[in-house]
Amino acid sequence: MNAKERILHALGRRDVPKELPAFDIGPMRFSDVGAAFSEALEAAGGETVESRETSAETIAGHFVFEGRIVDTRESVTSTTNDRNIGLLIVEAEFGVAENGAVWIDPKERYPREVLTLAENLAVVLKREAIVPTMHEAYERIDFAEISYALFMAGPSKTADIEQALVIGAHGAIGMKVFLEGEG
Amino acid sequence: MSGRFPPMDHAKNAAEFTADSERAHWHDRALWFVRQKRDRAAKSVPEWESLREAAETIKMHTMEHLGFYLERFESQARRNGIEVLWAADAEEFRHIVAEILREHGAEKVVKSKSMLTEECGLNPHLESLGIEVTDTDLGERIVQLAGDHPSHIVLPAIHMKKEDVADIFSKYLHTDPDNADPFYLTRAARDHLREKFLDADAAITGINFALAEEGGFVVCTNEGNADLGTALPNLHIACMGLEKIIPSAQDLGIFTRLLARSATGQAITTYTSHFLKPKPGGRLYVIIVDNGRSRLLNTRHNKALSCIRCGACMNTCPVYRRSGGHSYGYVIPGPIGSVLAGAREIERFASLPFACSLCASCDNVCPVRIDLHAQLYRERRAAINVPSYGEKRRLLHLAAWVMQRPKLYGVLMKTVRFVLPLLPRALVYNRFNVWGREREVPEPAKRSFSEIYRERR
Amino acid sequence: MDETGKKVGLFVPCYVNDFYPDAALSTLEVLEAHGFDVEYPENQSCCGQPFLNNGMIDEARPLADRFVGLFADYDYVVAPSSSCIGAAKFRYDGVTTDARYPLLRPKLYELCEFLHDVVGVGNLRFDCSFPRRVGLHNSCHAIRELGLAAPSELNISHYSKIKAVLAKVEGIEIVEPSRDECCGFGGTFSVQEADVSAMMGRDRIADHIANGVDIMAGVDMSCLMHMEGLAKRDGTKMQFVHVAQILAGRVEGNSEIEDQREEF
Repeated sequence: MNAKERILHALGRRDVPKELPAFDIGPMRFSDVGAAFSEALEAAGGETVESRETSAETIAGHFVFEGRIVDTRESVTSTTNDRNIGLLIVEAEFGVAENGAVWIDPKERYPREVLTLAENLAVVLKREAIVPTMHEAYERIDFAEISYALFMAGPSKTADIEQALVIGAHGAIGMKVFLEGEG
Repeated sequence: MSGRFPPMDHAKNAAEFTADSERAHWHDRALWFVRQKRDRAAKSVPEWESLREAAETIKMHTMEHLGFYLERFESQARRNGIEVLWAADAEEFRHIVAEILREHGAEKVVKSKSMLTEECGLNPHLESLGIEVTDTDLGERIVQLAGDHPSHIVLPAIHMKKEDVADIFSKYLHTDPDNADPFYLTRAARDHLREKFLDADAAITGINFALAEEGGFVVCTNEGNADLGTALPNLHIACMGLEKIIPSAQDLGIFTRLLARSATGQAITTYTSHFLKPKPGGRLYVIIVDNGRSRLLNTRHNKALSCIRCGACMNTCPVYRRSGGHSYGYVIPGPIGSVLAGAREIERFASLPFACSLCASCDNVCPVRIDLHAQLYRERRAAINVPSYGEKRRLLHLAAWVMQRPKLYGVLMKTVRFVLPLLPRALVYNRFNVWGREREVPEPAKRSFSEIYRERR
Repeated sequence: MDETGKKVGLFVPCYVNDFYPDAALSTLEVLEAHGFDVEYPENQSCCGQPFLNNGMIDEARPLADRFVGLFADYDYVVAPSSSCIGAAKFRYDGVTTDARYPLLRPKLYELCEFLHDVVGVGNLRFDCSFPRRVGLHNSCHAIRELGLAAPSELNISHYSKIKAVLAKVEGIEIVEPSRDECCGFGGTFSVQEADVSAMMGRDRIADHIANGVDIMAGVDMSCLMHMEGLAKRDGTKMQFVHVAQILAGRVEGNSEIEDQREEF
């Protein structure tokens, strides 16, 4: 027997399981998902910016950085091993109020590495695209369409040295979400 | 495997840790702080306890049908272009990883956190083949440079003080040995590791959740090291213990709400990354590892396989916080580590089920409601029969024999109550009196309750 | 619900019998003062917990059988110990051979649990006052096994049956430590892991001292015995009493007790 057969043999039964019952979680609700989102993102070291205008220039004005701006809303040339992205602008499909996370799917539009190579990350999010919790978030995702995508909550961080929180581990050091639309 | 290593003695290791009282208290406070953050996060979610129950149900269901879900995962992942390989034990696993790396001519590997690779001794094996493996999680990089091992599954370097880190970094990253500022040290590590990322031929990651229905998997980090590591090279090897499977992505709603809140008190990890297909032009492998897990499934410790590696049981454990992760002598320390180690090799790890006061706090923080303290309680039935506990067993056996004879016990205790106050202190606090090493012996009462009761009637 | 006159079997932990008889006597007095017909079966022994906790089922079995045999016929069984009651209530399955065990189980109570759940807080009368600041030791078996109070880990509404009962004593001020953490006794854990155990105990004591407390009360004399031993060794000024002793008015600082108290 090969390894797979040995393991499956050891695991025993392989019948099709009955479907799990639906769970009655009764997830938390927020009177104002936008406010909850902002609060959660701030707790995660990020920041929300209310913005009607989200041109690259306007967004760049909210950051202090060196290096070039990559706006993924326009076409992006190959950036592999690019050490010089000061600001990356991406769109998020939706946000999650309970934890301040945004769902970012690069699709074929830009290479995934720019998300972590960039020193600063600006995320453009429509205010109406904020769901209360992760349960609603996962209902929105069509995994058949995904190669790599992620929830991102704030800038990269670590507390591995004496539990002292340091923003900016390997990925973005600054992360701001620009909320588009009426508040 | 048993007998290969001498039995480890947790109490002895713990005594070494507590001997430095200041440091032990610092360790205790640092982890209690994490436990408190976890409490605040858990209490901010009104449905917290229902989430735990749901997670428990999903995990138990999955464990009952592991074979089905793993095969489902394999076929779905293959449709996505992921190559799935199986390893029955650590040796097979190491061999498979080394083969893939060799096939692709990869010499430099960046690795994000995976307790499985630690369990299977992957790093030393790859290094022996001349492959450079860089652990990219900051805590893991620190212990790697120090030639040490993680002492916690979420906070690998929690046993080290910032001065220790400054010392190590000054040797390897040429930082200022007198600057122990965590910000300074983290930035130095960022620059150092950025070069490693850009230079890597392959990335190895762990897997937090593998999705049977979708054929993909999720990796959770705060640092973004799994994302950066896998985005650059064309080869990504993801390693999972076979218990990491869950039925579908819909279940992630429950698990992602529990994991980070339980681990660090964050509402979610900074990066919760979903890998469904290889990157364009790249190769993506998933290795499913058994290494003793299937055997556990058919024992009364099967529930321990539900563990999602949040570390909450360590942070809450009053023993772990005061004895340090290394005192457990196993890759996973704390309550869950004691269960897993004992279930794996009781002769060697017999002291671990006893490294527990049965306070049951771990049961209450576990996001998947593993009955940890009950598991340790049950594991003691095997542990007490290990030769090194022969003396303890004989003493307890004798005590039970006396206890079964209440009249004899009464006479004995009456004698003790009479004699004890008359004995010279040196005789009472002799070297066999372990209780009396740190504590005074209670004062015997003049009359026992039974005597008082009899007189009262 | 009038439970007056019901027969209560009193279980006294072995070490309490010889080292802390006052805790047992206090329990007896409190139960009698609330109208129960209390009996202390003479042939009782250890509940078996030390053997159960060390995986020695064969040694524990005769003790469990003895416990079930002696107490099966009472209306209630009460003990001044949450850990012994916890052992009898949750650890005898597959140990005792006595078929009456399932019937006995729901009749097992720790003292405060009994006063709270069976007598009812509204019916409690303690004819004493205790105008002191008391540090409450929340023992693990009490809060995490018997559910006498909400443990800090769970997201459930706060409650404490022990506090609710103790608060009926006039003038008492109850202070809880910053952590509801294990004191490190843990039975044979206290000698098997002597160093960690001692550190845990000292940390709990320090927590209470930080609260300005010089008397600690709890429902498990075993935890208190461990911490008392540490405090005495360290020369720490701290008094350790069982909750029952305060309820019975048998602790120094209790007033108006002389006429209530039976003389021996």
